[in-house]
Amino acid sequence: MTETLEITSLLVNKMRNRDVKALDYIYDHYSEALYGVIYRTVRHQEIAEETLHDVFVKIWDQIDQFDEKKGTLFTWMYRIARNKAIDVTRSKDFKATQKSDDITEFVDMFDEPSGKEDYIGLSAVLNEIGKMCKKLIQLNFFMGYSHAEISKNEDIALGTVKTRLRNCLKDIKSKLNKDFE
Amino acid sequence: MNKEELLSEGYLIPYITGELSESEHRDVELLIESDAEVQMEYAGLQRTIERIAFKYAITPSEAVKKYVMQNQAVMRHLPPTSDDSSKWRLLAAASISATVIASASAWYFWNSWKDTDLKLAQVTSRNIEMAERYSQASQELDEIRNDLAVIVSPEFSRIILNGTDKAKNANVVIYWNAEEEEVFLNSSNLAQLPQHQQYQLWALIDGKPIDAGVFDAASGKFQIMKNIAAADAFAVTVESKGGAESPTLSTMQVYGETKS
Repeated sequence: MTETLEITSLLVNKMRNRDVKALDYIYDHYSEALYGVIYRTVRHQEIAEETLHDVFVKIWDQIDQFDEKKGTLFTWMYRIARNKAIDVTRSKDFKATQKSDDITEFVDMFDEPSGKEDYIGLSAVLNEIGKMCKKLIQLNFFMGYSHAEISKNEDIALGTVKTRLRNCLKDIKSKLNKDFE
Repeated sequence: MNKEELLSEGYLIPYITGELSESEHRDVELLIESDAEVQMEYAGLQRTIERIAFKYAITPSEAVKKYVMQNQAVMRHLPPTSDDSSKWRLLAAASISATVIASASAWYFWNSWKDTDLKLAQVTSRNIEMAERYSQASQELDEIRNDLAVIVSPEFSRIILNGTDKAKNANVVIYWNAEEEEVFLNSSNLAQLPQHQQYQLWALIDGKPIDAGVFDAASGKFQIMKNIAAADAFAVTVESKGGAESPTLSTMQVYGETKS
């Protein structure tokens, strides 16, 4: 874990010194994870790729605003990507091209085959946590729905959405063995 | 907002996604800075979300990266190639004195610019490749360290499950810490299964099977199974993807008793 932290702060420093190579590296390392969030929110390849481009230009432009004390580099970039994707879905142009913006077209992303490495056993854990947990995680973290929107669409009290999500994530974390942190 | 409210009402998650009002956001920020328990939960949530995001990543078109790197905000920071600059200046002077060869030297400049540009791109990509390899190697090292910690730990007992008639050459090694109820499994020796099937590990106690989790055949990797506190033996069967409630005994691949 310490090696990872060192690489991150090294990359951030290089970005702050306007080192293009650091951006190049950050793009290669994080673009797919961020694109997963953007694409599932926007659900349109061309628009999602344009958004990903804007997100990385913003990461480059605003790296000075990243504060290690307030969270990890991924969390900071994730928030930028999620918000930007939501902004895009709310724009007039976007609404004109899309038919609906409700959750009826929900496709369970955890059912999609994932070719990624799984040495920590995440798939097995996700298999165990139950349908509702998976749906809440997908809607909130990967599709840009707010707690209020989920509460309305799924007919669950707002407070319950919040506490449920927290319990789901804590459950996943505790199931991923501590020795493998 | 106090610490108890923050934790019990799940404020950290909307903090991560950026859904909080400005004042709530500030409250959470202050508690993260000042409270160790909040910090721990926050770190755990961040890591969990990052892991899920990496697992369910999607690859965008290659062109996107090109557009990012060629964006004006990025391009103007591409470093000038310092090594050649003095030579360039000299050549520039020469071309002024000899107007006849001006066009020829312009051609040369253009070519050598193209050349250094290409060289820069090559060096950049090599650098990135090295950084990637380093990060991959250190990740692999971490995994090996974790595996080794299990292997050398006196708390873990090593149980070898030998192949049944169904799979004579198969064997599976299990490391089991009964105290902590942890079970790790190495399945490098099992055959790959078709997409719709998975292996399932069972703990047998007084002849009763207890589900210890499903897994795929993976080479050279330890997989973490469900917690098991007591077992007389372990066995692996082949079940449909996701596992079964009780073992299909006719498919049993390997079997081993905990006390031999």
